Amino acid sequence: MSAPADSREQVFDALADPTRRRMLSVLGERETATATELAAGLPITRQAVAKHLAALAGAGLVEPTREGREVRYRLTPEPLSGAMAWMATVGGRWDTRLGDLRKRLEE
Amino acid sequence: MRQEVEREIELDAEPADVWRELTESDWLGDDPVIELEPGGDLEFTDRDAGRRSGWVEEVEPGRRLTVWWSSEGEESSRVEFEILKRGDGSALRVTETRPLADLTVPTAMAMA
Repeated sequence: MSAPADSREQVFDALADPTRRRMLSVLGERETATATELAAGLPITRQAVAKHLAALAGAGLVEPTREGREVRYRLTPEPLSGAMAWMATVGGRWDTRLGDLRKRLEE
Repeated sequence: MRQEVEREIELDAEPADVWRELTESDWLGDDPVIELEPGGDLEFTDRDAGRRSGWVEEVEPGRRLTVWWSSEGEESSRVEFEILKRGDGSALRVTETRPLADLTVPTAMAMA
């Protein structure tokens, strides 16, 4: 709860994106996954997945481990506790919803 | 820490159009049900979090809507939508809080 402001910012930024939230929920359902495995379930390229994983790792939400020739990612939800987790998740949802509202009204 | 998320967006649309989108469309989620009166039912399927249900606290047509909602296993949220006239368009301010979750903090401290 007393995370420094800039690391909190990083967590919020990392969760602002719906694809990254989706990736976290996939990682929450399985032990570990590679970028290729994650890309298989998402409508984006492996390169885009790798970029999102880098953002999540930067925020301390996932941890990469090398296993032989592949890198596997594991969920490390420690930065996401209590009130902060709620605000990050809910804030991300509103960013998505309001962006969607703008599209509906202005297109 | 008070649990509050606030967002404001400026929209190139009349306040009446924003109100209509808020109360008559499936913007918030699929299969929406909203009874625009205090105590009225509220329900929709959130694309992120499944079915949410709750009730309407306050309606000020065209200007303000306050609702409560939760999905299964989740603490209730109070969500206030406020539509403001801004130049030729409007602004929508959304404030989501968890008043009940905030209440449990002093209780837990008193019991410790």
